Amino acid sequence: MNATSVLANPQFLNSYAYSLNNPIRYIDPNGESPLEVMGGGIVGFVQGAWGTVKWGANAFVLNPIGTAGPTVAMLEGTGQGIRDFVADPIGEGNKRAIQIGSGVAMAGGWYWNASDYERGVVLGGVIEKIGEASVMSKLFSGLRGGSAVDDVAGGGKGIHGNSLQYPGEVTGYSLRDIDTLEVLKYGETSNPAQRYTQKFLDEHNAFLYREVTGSKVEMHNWQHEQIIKYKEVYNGNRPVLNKSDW
Amino acid sequence: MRIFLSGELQIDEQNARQFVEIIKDIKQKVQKLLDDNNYGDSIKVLAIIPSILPIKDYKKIKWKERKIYRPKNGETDFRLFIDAGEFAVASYDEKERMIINNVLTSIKILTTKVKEGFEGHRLEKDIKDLFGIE
Repeated sequence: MNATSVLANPQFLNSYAYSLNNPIRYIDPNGESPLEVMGGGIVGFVQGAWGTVKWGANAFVLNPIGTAGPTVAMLEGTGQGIRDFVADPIGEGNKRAIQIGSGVAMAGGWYWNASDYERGVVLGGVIEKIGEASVMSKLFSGLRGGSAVDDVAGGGKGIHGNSLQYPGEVTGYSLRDIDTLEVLKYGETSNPAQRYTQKFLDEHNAFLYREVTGSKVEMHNWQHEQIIKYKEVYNGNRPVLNKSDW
Repeated sequence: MRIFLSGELQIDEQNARQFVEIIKDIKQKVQKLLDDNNYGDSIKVLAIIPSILPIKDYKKIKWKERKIYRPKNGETDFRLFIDAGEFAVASYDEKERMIINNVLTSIKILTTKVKEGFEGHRLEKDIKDLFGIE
């Protein structure tokens, strides 16, 4: 022990504390000089990522169903983050660094001077931040357009209802004019509980007609075929509420 | 007050056509009733949208009946179920009766939700008289 190490960690002055009061990081067989445990990197990694583990555990206990989607998304996002980083370390590294902000300082000589444990903490923190960023991104994307229900309904695989890989049943429907029965729109939805508002139906004098069910790909193609048939009959015009042929 | 009748249907095309024919007729007659009488100024748009689909699918596709009254803009959004199987085998008159009952049940529920400015009981009675329902 020297003056520098005391200043760096005042726990050196505490005669009663075992291994600098941090038994997870250190062992101290002779009671005089704490040593970092073997595999300090792994221990540090777990500590760094502990927030994520704790959040997942708490949220799952409080709301097991609601947490399933985001948790899967987080794990998927973390895995994707690592895959992206390997594929494009510079581009992805920059992107993640912006997301993480000042939380992690990997630059300069610090990395080489740091212990395995300290490196592990930082790496764990990075993984945690990537996971959080991914979850927030997924949640906000759900609020914007899709639905968290869709994600959970996707067999718990985090597959959004708009993806052609969506494994659930999808409904093909049309919106039709009440007076003329003319088709106003062909559509498909993976969320059967989703409904048009009374206001929208009123504005377009429309009723909803659920015509057929099938896989996402089948319904996607069904919608396209119906629009093409409509165009053949109506001089190339689509149903008024369809903005494209798909 | 204006009535808006629509539907959420999962039935064959012939029955869908009959449904539309019936709601157009009901809408026209009830609207005349609303134009000729004053049932209060709380309701601006009486929107009733019967949901006709196989009863066994109700839970499967997570559809729920909707019984909404929005006091702020005086609009309603009622979507009560009619079983598609029963509707499909019913005669034209029975189909009409099923839809009128759907409308009457909606108005009955609405009457319990609107505190003032809506004479729901009188409207219910007048619609029954209009269509000869006991």
